[in-house]
Amino acid sequence: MLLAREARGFVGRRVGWAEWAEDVVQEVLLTVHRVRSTYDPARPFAPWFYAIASSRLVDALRSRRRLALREVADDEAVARREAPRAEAHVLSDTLAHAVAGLPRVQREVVSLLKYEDMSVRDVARRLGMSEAAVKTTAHRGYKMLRRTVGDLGEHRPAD
Amino acid sequence: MNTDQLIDRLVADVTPVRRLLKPTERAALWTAMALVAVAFGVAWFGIRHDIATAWLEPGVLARIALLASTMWLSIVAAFRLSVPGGETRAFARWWPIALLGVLTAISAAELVAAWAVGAAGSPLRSWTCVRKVAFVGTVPAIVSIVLISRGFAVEPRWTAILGVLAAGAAGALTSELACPIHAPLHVFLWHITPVIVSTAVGALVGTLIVERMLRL
Repeated sequence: MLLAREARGFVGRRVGWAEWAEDVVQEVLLTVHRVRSTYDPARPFAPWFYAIASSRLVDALRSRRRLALREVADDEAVARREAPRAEAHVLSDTLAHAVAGLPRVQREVVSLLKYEDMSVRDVARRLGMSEAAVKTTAHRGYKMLRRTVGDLGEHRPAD
Repeated sequence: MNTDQLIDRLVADVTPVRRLLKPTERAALWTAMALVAVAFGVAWFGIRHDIATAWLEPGVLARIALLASTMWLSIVAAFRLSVPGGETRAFARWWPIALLGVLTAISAAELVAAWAVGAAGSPLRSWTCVRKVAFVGTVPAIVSIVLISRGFAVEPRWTAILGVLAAGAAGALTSELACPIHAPLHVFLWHITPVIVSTAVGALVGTLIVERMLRL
């Protein structure tokens, strides 16, 4: 139950309360159960758990993106009608996709800093990095996000 | 099924599991198996007839040392990457790639130097060294992918690349110990290039397998 709450919080902070978020939570729990032999009690639990959760969330976002590309024609019709209302949601989804597409370390650093509101020092401690490395990685991640979100924005059908 | 029902089912199914060995221990076991495969390959193809003098050649020694180091570092990195949250440092995975780069650079430099004096050799002679790499590398490659899949590879592509690279290096090690041809063109084309090509091809196939097994 505690793990389910953690997983739900982790997913919810990243994609909001989307209807498919609970499926990701279940995937995380199943995976934790299946690969529990990889956990070493001598090491901290959180990095192990969040690495699994993050991986499952990325998988879900990727498969949703593939699905969205296939269903673009239907979506376009709906989007034209509901564009203003959906604008905020689209932006948040675009950003979530862009974060998911970052290299792993950048993704973890950006997620922990921005979604979890952790301090640079806490992120450095959790990921076993120096504070300077966390700042540099975050800077690179933001730069890449700006570029990616800009590119996606230019190609959005509503535009 | 809702999440509470899933949790109840998982709790009911839970059985004690044996913890996976540490990555270095798994790498040591894999390396022992790979060395048996190399020994078998050398016995099958026959040890090079000039082995007594080949040991004294810096080029041969450098290639053997670089291939053995690449094999070890690749497999350790692959097993570390197959433990969630275990390895985030980039250099651990780049070391084996860098060693392969050094090996390629040394062989290419020897080739260019030999070409300049017209002693590069023929590209057609004894291409069967590719068979040695494939013959010896296949089983370690399969075993590495199976062992990686017993963990949870957060980065399937990197993990598969490193697992297959380790197996390719074992195959090339066999070529170095079994093939007496010194010609730089032969060494470059038929000892080193197969490692690069098999890593690229194996990475594609290995990534698909690792990703598929992650979804099970």
